Amino acid sequence: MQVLVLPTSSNESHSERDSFLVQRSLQGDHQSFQALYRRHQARVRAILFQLCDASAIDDLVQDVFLRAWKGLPKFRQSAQFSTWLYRIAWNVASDQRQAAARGRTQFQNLTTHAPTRQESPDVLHLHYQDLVQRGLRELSFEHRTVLVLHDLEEVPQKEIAEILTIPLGTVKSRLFHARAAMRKYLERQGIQL
Amino acid sequence: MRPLPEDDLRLAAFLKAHRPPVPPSDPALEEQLLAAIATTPQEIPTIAPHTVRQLTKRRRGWVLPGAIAASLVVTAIGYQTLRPQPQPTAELSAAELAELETFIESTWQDPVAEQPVVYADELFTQPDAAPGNSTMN
Repeated sequence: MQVLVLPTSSNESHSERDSFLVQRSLQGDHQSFQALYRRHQARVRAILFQLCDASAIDDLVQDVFLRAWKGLPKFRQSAQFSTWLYRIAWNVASDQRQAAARGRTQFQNLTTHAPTRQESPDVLHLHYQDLVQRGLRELSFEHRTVLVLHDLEEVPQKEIAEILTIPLGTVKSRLFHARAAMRKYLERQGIQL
Repeated sequence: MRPLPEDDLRLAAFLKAHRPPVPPSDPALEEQLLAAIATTPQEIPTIAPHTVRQLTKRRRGWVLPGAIAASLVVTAIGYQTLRPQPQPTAELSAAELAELETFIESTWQDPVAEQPVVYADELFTQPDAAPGNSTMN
């Protein structure tokens, strides 16, 4: 089995390693693309989970990486691979949201709002998790996207502006309104931060 | 009222601490993806329509300055070509030359002759001082 050797110098940045893997993937190296998948799938999955219907999350993740594979020759090497990939994830989430809006039923709404997994035995923690999930669903898609990317995934505002192709000021404005709406929702549920 | 940054930090910390856990991925997902990319060719990059539009727009942007520069060059060349050339001076006859010389002499000397002559001694002599009243012994 072929072993993929990544550049591992101490000052090698994350994006430089991505760039190396992208170059290899462009030459048709599937292992390099597999390495890119392993490096980014968790974050892509987390973003999609907050923005989309959780029941289809595996299909959506696969869709994102398949689109990335097909479109890799169009990727500008000057940009960050992660920014480009998150943009694809956002496009997939938008498409899924529009499709879901067309065919959503009351039953699907209920299942979407229900907590999907309960791993912690702490009831209060579970309650808070449910509130956060519900609060995020209360936000508009644009506000939720910015809040998830910035406050949950810690993507810098400038990078969010590039992902969504909107001005930095719009990102700041959406973040401000999203936080205000989320704070108000939590206060209505009896949580004072 | 605009919330303080500490409020934002507290909210972000709360959201992060209680974010719903992401369900684990299907173990077969990675294999499925690799199988899919093995049968999916990468797209050959082509010039996107918006890129073509940008190039056209950029080219259109050069039309106006180019037209201005070209019209300036045409104007300069036309001026050089079409402006009336200075005519060579006609040859004067001997009588005309003599008349011109006389005229110059008369007009040259007349004002000079009318000027009052001032001698240097007059500049340093008191107007009321008599010639024999010098104080110098």
